[in-house]
This record gives sequence, C-alpha cells and structure tokens, in this order.
Amino acid sequence: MPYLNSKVFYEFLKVYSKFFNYDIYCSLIEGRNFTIIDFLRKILTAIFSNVKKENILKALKTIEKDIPKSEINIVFTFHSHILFSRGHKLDELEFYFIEFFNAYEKLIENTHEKTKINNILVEFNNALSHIFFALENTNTFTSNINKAKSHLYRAILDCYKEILIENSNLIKQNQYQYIKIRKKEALNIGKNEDNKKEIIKEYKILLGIKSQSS
Amino acid sequence: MRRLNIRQMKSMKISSIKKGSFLKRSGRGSIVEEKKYSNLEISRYRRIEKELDALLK
Repeated sequence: MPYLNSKVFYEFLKVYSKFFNYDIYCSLIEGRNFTIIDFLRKILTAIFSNVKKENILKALKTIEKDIPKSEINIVFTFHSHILFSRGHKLDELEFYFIEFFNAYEKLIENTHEKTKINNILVEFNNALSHIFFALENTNTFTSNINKAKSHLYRAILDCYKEILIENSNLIKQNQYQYIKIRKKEALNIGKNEDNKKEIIKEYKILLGIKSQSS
Repeated sequence: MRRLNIRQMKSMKISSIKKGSFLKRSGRGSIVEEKKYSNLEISRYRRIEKELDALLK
C-alpha cells in the first residue's frame, strides 16, 4: 500500500507545515507542544491503517484549526512528482514508520512516564521535519530521507530499550540473546540498513513481539 | 532564580521544575522541555483527543 505516496499524506504534510512554523518559533519560548506532536502521530498511524480517508481529513482539519499562528511563516512547495510516484527512497521509509508505530504502542502499554515518551516523540518529529525538507528541496532529498530513517530507527530502538528497562527480568532470563544483540548493535554503528532491520527484529524477538511489517 | 545542581534536578519530578530553571535535553541534544499548558488548553486538548479517537478508530 502506498501510504506515503498518497494524497492524504500530502494533506498531512500541509498541516505539518503549519506545526513546523509554530514549533520553530514557540518551542524555545514556551516549551515544546508534545500534545500536538502526539496528535500528529495518531493521524499518521491512521494513514497507515484502514481508517477512512474522510475521517483522516476531518482529523487533520481539527488539528490544523488548533495550531496557533506563528511569527515565522516559511512557505513550503512540495515536489509532487516525488511525493506521488513510487520507486523513490520515500517508499523505503514505510518499513520504519510501521515498525515505529508498533514499537510506540508497545511502549505506551509499558510506561506512562512523560519524559520517556517525549524523548521518542522528539525523534518522530525530527524524522517528519527531514521528510518535509526532502520533499521541499530535491538536492537534499536522499540525505534527508536517510536522516529521517535514522531518527525513526533510534525511536524504535529507544521504545524497545525502555520496555526492557521496565521489564529487566527479560534480560536476566535471556542474557545470552541480550548480550548478542547489544554487541551486534555496537558493532553495527554507522553500517548499512539491513543490519538495522536485523537489530530491530532481534529486539522484538527478545521482547516476544510478533513481526507485522516483514 | 535558584540554580539547581544535577542531583537536585534528578530527584525532582519534571512537573515540579519551574520553567526556565533549566532546559532539559535528551542525550542527543534536542531540547525536550514540554510546554506548560493552561487549564483551558488542557480541556481543549482532552476534547480534541476524544474527537480524534472517535474519528480514527
């Protein structure tokens, strides 16, 4: 399913554009609005699910109305030929988004600690801002998409690591597997993407989470 | 404003730390201090959350 090459994702980006302008101005003055970031996460999760398009558009309208006007107004022009055609690196992000949404849901089942959740939402927001600029400027498309992937990868691993911290008995019970993953993760810093996908899979096995995206 | 040392900060709940006492950073350098919401905003966000949950289920 082309989730990111859809009209509804285009509408999502337009609302994100308003949030981006608000966030870049207000986050240092009044603090970051994680509530809106989490609303955006909910809507993007729905884009990747079987939720009716009309309902997603209604939800986007609700959020758009609520985002305050900003003193900064950077107008973005998206390159729709990239957004609406498959085969670009944009498709590759879908794996990371699906994994992120699942990891986030699991995290919420295990913790309600605001600071932990906010750290994950920072990564999600950073990923969105890179996608945004990838579509705005084709010269930086590849580097921005790769950076978005890295932020989502960090967010996914952070979710699983927080769950492990909350359930330290899992480490004691599976110490061999735990050491293997941590070693693999350390040895793969900065290496290719297949390893990243493999590491995500191994964390899920350690936590007893079924794979849905592969 | 009274400056807090690291040990004092660690022993405090985030909600009890006054705005401007420090800017909390995640390990990767992002500033993650959350906005302090007014009562009006809190009730508006609760309403929006309910609306979203109904639309996106």
